[in-house]
Amino acid sequence: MAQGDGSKHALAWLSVDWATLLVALAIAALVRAGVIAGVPW
Amino acid sequence: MRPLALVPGVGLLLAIGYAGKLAEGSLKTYGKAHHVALPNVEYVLWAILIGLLVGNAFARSRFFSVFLPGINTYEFFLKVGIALLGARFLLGDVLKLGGLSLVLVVLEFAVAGSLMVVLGRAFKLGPKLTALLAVGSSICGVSAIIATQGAIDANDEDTSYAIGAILALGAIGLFLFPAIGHALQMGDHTFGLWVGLAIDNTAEVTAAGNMYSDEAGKWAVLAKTARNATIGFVVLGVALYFASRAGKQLEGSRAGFVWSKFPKFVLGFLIVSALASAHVFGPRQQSDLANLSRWAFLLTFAGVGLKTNFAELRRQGMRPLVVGAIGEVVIAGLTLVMVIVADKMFHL
Repeated sequence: MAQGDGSKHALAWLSVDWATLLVALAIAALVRAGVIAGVPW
Repeated sequence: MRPLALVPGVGLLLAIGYAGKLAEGSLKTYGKAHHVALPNVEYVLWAILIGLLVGNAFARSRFFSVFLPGINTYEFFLKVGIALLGARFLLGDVLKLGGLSLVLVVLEFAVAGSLMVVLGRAFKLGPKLTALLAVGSSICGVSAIIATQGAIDANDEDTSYAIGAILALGAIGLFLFPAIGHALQMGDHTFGLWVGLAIDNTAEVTAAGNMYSDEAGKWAVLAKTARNATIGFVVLGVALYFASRAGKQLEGSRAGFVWSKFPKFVLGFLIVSALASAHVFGPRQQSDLANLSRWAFLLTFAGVGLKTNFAELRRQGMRPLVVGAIGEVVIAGLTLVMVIVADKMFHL
């Protein structure tokens, strides 16, 4: 699991984990707002 | 990394995953058209199988390296998919089940988890594969394995094995459970509860329950939902366990290390699940989120298949399947005794 190395640069804390958390919450917000709707399966 | 470099690999994930989804649909359609009761083979397993074949056939050819950057994004899709999966697990569902059934769920949980750990050790499986089998058999098959894999960073061979074992046994259970239920003349509630406790994957639980009766199907799904609702807590526990195990070799702040190793996307799962439980999303929005997580898993498991190495699977041998099979049979027997005793004593 890629973890950020805080000593290297300003955005290093943004590991895959944090990025996926933010992306998932952004998607949830877009679904809540109705921007993403009618997703087929 | 240039985003364009990801396109071929992500395209390949989508093509393989979608082929898996088509395979699942085709098998269902064939069964219906020919009135044959075929097991429900989930798109997840198809995607892994097709990925396995493609990956192992072409991995050594030179052109395959074009696809690698995109294929490696599957971990990202896995974690986004898990966080969105939270929309399907409402904490309030546990309460609908009622006290006695809930006690049985907790008992099943403890028995199945411990049994798999004991069997895993006896058969000398690795700790991560054992954890995946324990979580898969005690909570909810594929979703739990998917979530745990991300949390403890298990390797692809372990995940393919654990999912394969749980789904293969679920498919067999789909036919055996209703036959046993009829032979023992079990009531709808008792049978539904048994199926909901003993079969591990939600699709097979629903199918086996409804094959018996609508009422049995309802109880089966409720018991299963209660097991599913615990997924976040269990994944949290397993992740903390593996993070602290790794922390033993380090100096400095143990809590800080555990936090640095703690998979943050699990927080996403808990947040989305809490929001869904608080009815922040409407029913359609919940199904949109659930579908988005399915699409993410479709890409993920094509990637898991593509990265799984046949030689590595051969090295593991049949032991994981044997452990899965012994565990599932014992769990089915014990949960059957549990529901029958509960029915006799408390009249379910």
